[in-house]
Amino acid sequence: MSEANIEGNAGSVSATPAPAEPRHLRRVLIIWAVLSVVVIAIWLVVAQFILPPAASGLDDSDNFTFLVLTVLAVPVSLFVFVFLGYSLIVFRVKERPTEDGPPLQPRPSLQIGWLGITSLLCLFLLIWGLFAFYQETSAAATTNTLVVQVTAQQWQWTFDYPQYGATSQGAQVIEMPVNRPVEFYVTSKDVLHGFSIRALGVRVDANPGETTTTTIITPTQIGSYTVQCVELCGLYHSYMWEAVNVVSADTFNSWITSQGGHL
Amino acid sequence: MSSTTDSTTVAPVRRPNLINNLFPSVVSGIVFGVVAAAVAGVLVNRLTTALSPDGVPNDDAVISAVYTAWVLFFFIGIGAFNGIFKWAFSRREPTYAEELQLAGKDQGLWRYFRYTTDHKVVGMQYLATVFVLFFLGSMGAFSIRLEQSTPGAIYFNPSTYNTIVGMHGILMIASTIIMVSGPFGNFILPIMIGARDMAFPRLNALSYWMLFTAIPIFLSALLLGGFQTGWTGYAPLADQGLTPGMDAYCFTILVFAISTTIAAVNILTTVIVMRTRGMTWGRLPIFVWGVLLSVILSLTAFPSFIVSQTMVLMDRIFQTSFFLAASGGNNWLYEHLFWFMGHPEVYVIALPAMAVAAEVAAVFTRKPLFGYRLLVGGLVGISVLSVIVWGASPLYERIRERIDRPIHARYRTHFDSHRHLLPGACGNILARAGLGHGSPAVCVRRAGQLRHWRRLRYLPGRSAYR
Repeated sequence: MSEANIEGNAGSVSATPAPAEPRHLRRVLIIWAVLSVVVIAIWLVVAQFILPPAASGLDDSDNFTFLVLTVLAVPVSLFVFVFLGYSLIVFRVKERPTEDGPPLQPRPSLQIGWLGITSLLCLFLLIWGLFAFYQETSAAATTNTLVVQVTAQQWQWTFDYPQYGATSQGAQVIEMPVNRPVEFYVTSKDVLHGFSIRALGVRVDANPGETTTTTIITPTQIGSYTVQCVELCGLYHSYMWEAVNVVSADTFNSWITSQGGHL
Repeated sequence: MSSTTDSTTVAPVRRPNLINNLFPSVVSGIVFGVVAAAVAGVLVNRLTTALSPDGVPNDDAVISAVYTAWVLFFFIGIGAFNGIFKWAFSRREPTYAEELQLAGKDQGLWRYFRYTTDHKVVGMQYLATVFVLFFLGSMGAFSIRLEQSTPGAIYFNPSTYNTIVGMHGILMIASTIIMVSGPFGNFILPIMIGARDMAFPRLNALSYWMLFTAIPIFLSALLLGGFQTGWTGYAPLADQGLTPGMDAYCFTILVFAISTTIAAVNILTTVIVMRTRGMTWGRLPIFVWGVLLSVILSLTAFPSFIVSQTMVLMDRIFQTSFFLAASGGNNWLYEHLFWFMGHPEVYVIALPAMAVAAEVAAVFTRKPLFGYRLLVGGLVGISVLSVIVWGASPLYERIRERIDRPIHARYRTHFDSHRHLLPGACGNILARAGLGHGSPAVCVRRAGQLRHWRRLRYLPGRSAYR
């Protein structure tokens, strides 16, 4: 049966010149390239709307990282999906097959190339991450750095401004001056909390019995943002958020005074 | 166990009456377990009341005693120790007829409700249980969405809602792990490597029935006021003695982890020593490689889970302070222990799923697997790496990590589980279930004519059709 099939095919090929086998590889590569460009373009447009607003240089670079890594990820994942989809559609055998397909022998060069490319991509991610990490931790404290002591407890935040002797506890609003470096000293009274101001690119755990220092960040945009707990901390974890206002220096000074601080 | 055993003469099995049917079986197990649990609860309640200076019973101790008694006496009731006692007192190996009796010969459907050692029976028990668990887990997701349909608490109070979120998480993750080691590991794997059964048939039954005992414990968390920690059970929060529901969580994890460890030992031994002649390591189907590496990983991962939950239980029952900073403990201990389990655990699920993808592709393209050795090497590499990168998850929390922080910032556990595991593992495992005509689900229908499984024993490139 199977031999007859093969012979039959061979015979038909020799008798009538069959239509030339389409160049599958070239087709797939073209589809892949076009789709990649289209999807990257869509992502670049959509990203403007879905990436949260950044209010500090740190968060700017966060968003940039997210943008770039997604752009890089699109061709990589499409490479898999396009080849898979093309094979499924074009090479599908509709009737019940009677014999096995021709075995695909792995060539060393192919395997080495495959391994090499994926390793390079992974290494790139690692290097990018390490470089960005070095960049953001290397900011040195300046003389006018604002120190904010953050204490988390179930289920509210306490913000102390030791330079001014001011405290804001369980308030609806915490204020910070624009264009002045801020450093947070984060700790917790009871359980593990997560201190996060997404727009400023701040995220650190609040550990009980331990003070964690964030890197120094500088809010650059006046506006209202949110500080929230990002580590499940019990029943009212979801209510543990407050507004963070980045304001002008004057407004900040008057707010500090209203919170019982001195200038 | 059909063709080979038919010819041998088997001692006539005594005609079972009702008592013989019910003891030992799951019914007697439940009766024994419930009675013993009630007795233990009352005793420990009295004891802790008498011992405590202010006459208040230690709820956590009572709950733990109830669960311990339930598990232990369930196993006495279901007859898990019968064979051991028989062996110990009569000082002889069980006869062939007794082994067959244990394996559920001629017991009809009832063998699925007994301490049956046949690997196919255990596989089916696992499969049915996993379906129930997945159903419960998805009902959890359904409840979460139902509650979120309008703002405010409509169906559940906040505490119940939190509990349901946590239960949904742990149910789905645990069920996916069980899906690998249970039905596939027990039913298919011995057939694929040409073994007649698992290496330790009684451990096989033990691992399934331990899972069974964990289910009522888990569901009782809801009755005991729930737990507030989510599926991770982070420790300083878990130490807060608000409700005894947390004890139910810890105990569930303990029993489940022991069950999985037993299953892992069994699968590992089976693959190492019970491969049929000619089934060399280089010919092992890729799916078997995936399961093998997965159980090796779970053997390294789950002990730390057991340890961490034991510590939480001790914190709660005996007022130790492993995780309380105020008394010299440290919450990092829990996080490290947890992620030492949690990180490999992702690959416990993912490795078999990847192997399934490779196997399914090879079978349906009707070609040998491309780059078999490289693929096996890759799976081994992933397993090795996954054990040493557990620091990454706590690291996200200690320092700020750049690469994928925007994602990890808020949705770490949510994204991890829903983006990787849902399409990856579940999808692939469902694909596995549809492989050829040979899924256990289909085999229920076609039980008895499982010959086509034999074909899978050979190279993965061979077709599963005919």
